[in-house]
Amino acid sequence: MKNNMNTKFYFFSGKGGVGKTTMAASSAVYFAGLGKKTLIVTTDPASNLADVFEQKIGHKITKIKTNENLFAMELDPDVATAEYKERTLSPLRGLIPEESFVVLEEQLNSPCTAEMAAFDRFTDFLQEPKYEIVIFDTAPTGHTLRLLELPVEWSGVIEKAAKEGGGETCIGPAAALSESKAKFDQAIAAMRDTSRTTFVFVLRPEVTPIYEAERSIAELLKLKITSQELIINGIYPQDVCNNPFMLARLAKQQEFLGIIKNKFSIPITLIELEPGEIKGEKSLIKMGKKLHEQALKLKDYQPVKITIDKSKFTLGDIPKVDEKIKPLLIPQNSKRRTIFFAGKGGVGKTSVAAATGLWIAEQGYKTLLLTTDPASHLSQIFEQDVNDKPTLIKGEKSLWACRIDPVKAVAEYKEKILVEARQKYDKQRVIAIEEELNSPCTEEMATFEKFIDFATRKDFEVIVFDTAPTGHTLRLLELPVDWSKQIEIKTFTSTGETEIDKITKSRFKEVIDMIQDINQTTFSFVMYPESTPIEEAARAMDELLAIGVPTSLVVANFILPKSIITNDYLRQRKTMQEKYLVEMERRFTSPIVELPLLVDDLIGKDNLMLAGHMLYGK
Amino acid sequence: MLNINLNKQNMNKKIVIYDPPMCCSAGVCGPNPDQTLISLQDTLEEVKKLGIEVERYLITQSPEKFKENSEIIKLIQGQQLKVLPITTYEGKIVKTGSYPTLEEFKKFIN
Repeated sequence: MKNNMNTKFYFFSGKGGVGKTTMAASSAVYFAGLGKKTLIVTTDPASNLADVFEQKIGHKITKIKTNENLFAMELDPDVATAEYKERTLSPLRGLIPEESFVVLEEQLNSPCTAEMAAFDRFTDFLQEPKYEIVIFDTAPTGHTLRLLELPVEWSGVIEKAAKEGGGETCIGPAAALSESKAKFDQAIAAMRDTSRTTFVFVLRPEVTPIYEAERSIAELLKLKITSQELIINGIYPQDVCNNPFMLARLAKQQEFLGIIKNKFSIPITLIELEPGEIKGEKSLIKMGKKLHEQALKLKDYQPVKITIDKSKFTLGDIPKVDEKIKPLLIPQNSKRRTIFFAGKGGVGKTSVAAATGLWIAEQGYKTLLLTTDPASHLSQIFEQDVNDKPTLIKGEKSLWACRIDPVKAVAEYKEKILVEARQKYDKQRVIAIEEELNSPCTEEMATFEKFIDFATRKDFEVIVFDTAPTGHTLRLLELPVDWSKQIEIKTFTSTGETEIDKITKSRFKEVIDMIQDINQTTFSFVMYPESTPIEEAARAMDELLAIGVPTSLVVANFILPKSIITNDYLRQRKTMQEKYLVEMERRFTSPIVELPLLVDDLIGKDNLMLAGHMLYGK
Repeated sequence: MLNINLNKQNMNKKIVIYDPPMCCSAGVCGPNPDQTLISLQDTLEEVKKLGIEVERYLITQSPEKFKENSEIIKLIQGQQLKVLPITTYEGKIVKTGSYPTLEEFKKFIN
């Protein structure tokens, strides 16, 4: 393998919408400006790298026009999967009948294939000797970590398979994988080498992302990856906070910075909120300089003293209930209503889902609020424990909340299979099955099982899903379609369709039918009025439509209230928001409801109920 | 590959199974665990105890192994994927369309 000992790697992670791509792209421009040959790769299925560089990029290494040292690539999971499939099946093309070949292609549509294909490309870039700097604008946190955990798990699987000999593993024949093992091991070694790799977490100065950052940092430490930094993006410049509302927001931020200062011992850089968007070479150069040369470190930050007079806030009026929106939120023809909230992480999806759940419960419907997001913070926003069993929200009569915990789901799924195995097989066989269940696909399967369980439940009138970030959500929703195809393949070949398969298939069909029926299901997108979230939502809506799922509601979040526009900086931001609200009206056919930026973070029932009324009226 | 052979006679004798398309040959991934495949693992353990080497190739993971064997390709051309799994012993096809039982394996070997 070629020596690439001098290449340095930067991984940017954090929820979508925190400015991760901006930070990654401006760093890339900065390093290229120093004369270093630089490559920026995004592994985010919902990437907006092309928007930031204002040119087409796509699934190949593309030169950035305005910069001679800079190259970029958007790793497209679909294309990577197609390439992987082609590479895998090409030996048989033309050799076996078309009818059979199509079945093989279908079989490779399983969720594991996409994961493997993306990962395969990812490790390729870790051995890229042609660049001095390789920057990964990575996929959202939870998914990234899983991707990074894979090599560790996989080399274990490979070692075992090779030792036992002749074994097929869940992820390919042992022989082929032994070759990959060297590649994976090298990838891990590079990520652990503090002189070569830096992990950068980007977050907004709000309370909830702290938990996520803490978790991510701990996860990486578990993987023995220690070189980590934090960027806190979106700090209000002190001089623009010249009205009570903005001062109250600033006070919140300062409180947050105090907490974070005590929590983390890694380097922390502060970046002020820009009044406009960062797009194109010029603004990227400026931001790159700011980030790498001028920015304030948290240890040097001097908070100002603020006294808040809450009586001075004017919230704006709470609207009347909109009769056009209401039918989208409550059951029709006494069939259960299921509401999905999609959108990038960081757009306030969880808060909007919680506010919606409270609002519907207030209308008297028995409602379950459910999260499938591994990084969910429902417990924090309701200030009570939310676990994998529906729990009644304190002081409520009709609102329950529940969190699908992937770790627990995996444990349950494994146990279900092992209980059966223990009755039938000897100890050694059971151990072997247990090992096999440690494959990366098990988590996907287990979470999915849980999702189906809830999606077919009849004991609630309304279920509100605070879904996982967009790309992952889509995969989850596409799964029923894919898996029922997998079962059809089984019927096609001699393995045969068992009774259990038939039951599974009918459950999947029930879920698919429900999701596609607008009288039962409301698919809603949450976004804030800026270019990136709108583009991503539009892309995701198209993908959903392709599997027969129309979008019926759009929530525009963090709208600046008119009453607080007291200086040019805020006016500039407001103008930008208005421009994008117009664009949303133009592009989306479904109704749009607005949620203003509120003084307090959406934590606690009172704040959430207020948000519910601002959204849907009272 | 190091095999501790209990039966010297059978040394280097080999069973090869060409598996149909599926997620993995162990039978524990996919929508439901597959009992046939899990039991097969047990049977194959028994076969290995007789000193026979066992190899399995999954068509979606090792297509080149299928390509190398013109007899296998011919069978698929004639009967589509229904002909899988195919079992060979000493290179000769001994069963098609389903997995052999332990008794059948023993018959092939003797």
